[in-house]
Amino acid sequence: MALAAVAAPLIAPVDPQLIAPFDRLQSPDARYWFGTDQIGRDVFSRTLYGARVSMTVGCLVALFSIFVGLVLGLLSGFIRWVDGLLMRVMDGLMAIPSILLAIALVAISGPSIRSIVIAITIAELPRVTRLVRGQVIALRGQLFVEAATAAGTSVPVILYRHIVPILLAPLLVQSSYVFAAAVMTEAVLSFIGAGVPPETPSWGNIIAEGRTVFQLAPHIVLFPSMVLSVMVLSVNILGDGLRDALDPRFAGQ
Amino acid sequence: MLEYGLRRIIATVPVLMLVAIIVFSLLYLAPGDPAAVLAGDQASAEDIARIRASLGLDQSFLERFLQWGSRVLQGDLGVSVFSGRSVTSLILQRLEPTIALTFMSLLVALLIALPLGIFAAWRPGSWFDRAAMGFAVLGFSVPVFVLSYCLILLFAVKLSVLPVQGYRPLMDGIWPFLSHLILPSFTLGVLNAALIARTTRAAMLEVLRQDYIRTAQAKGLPVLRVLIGHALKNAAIPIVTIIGISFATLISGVVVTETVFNIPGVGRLTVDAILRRDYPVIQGVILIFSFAYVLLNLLIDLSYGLLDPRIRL
Repeated sequence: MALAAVAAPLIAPVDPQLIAPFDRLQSPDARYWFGTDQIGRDVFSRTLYGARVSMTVGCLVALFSIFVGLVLGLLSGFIRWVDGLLMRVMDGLMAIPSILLAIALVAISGPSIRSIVIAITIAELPRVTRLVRGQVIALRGQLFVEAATAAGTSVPVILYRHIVPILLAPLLVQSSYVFAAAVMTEAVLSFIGAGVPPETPSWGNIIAEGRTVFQLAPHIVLFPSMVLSVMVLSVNILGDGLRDALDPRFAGQ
Repeated sequence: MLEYGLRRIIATVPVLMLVAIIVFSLLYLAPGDPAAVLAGDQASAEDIARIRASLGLDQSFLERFLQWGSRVLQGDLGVSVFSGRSVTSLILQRLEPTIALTFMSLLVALLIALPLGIFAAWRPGSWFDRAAMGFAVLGFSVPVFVLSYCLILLFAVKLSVLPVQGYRPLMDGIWPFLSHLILPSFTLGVLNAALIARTTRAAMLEVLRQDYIRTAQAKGLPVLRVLIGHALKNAAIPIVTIIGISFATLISGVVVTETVFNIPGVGRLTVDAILRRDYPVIQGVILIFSFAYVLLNLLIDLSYGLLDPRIRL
């Protein structure tokens, strides 16, 4: 899927924006694998290009929210006053359903991939930060950390040498869930018109455009929908697999 | 119990305050100058400044927040830029379909999730358990609108047994009301069932390991009695908690479902407001949804006392 997204310009049979007025609402056949939409654009090519948007948003959101979440989580796990302040802000953010928060943030900053990435990152951040903070607080009391402190190791070194390596496994698992959530949120945002601008094909807005002719030509909605579901499903299964493989509690089972 | 309840209620106040601050900042940061829009193209700089002063836009963030906050407490959420009507009345008018949809979806979710979770936990590793948990992963991964369109295609277009979209108020009779709600609430309910089923299974597994379950089985109680009377009762707290948390997913689902099925509820109001950049409406809706979410979770926290007598102490 990732390969297909990167290679979209090479694979796509025709330009996703190319309008072929005589081939409107074609059902899937050998020439148009996924059929064409109401103004004659190739749904297969559009879906391929849509994968690029989804992959970009998914990867960037996973990367940013894990990194920022790690830093914030470490800070609040080790510095008292930061903890109080940050956790209250996170409580407030978590009390707003994440999709609404993302909608509001995109509404302010205007529809573009950059603002979507920022909006979804902010909406996903509280969970990652809480995960890191919880782990740090649990680890802080462990003997090996106390031993390192007693031996005169400074806090940044302890964090880097003893804490961060342990956090990598749960964070890797978390990043796949964040990736899946981000792809899904992007699709929902684009679907309701608060996502990427309509000129850029994304799974969400292809489906939204197909809505109006759904009864005539269900393939416009169904193919991108299937690709989207399979994508999110496989990333979620990957996450479950990673969790089972990396978590010592599941290892024996 | 009283002390626990009071403590929980008091702990909710700062969260509500934080939500209000965040939601207010969103509008504060929104682009465009409302005063310039109101003044029109012909207005001079002084006119705009005068309107800005009359709207209180020249005051500091804190002053504006306090004024806005006191109006919100009186039930005034501002005025829609698009229709010029008060946001509170717009939301109230759209409330019925949304409440009906949310309630029905939750009902569907529980009817699916509880049996799945309970029987999956009863025989972990069985084909039923695998199937139920496979369904749960699927439920996490299929976006709401995807399932909506599949169901519309099957039941409304191919079989034509249910209406494709729209909404009829309860006043028009029970069947028109229900028939329009079946597809949307089934869609939302199935997807929400995934998370609840997974948690129910985990909580039941934990409880079924206990000695008193073995005792109950040993004294020959029927399986259902043990599962529901003994185990489910003790597994209730995590299950009820996840129902509260899943309300957030339910809300985002409501926004999408109302768009797909053309239901004139608060979710549609949100989407329309986004398309028209009607910031006061967006702000009002987010505030209301978030408050509902926080208050629901407060109610759930309070219900722990009823579910588990130990917490009452």
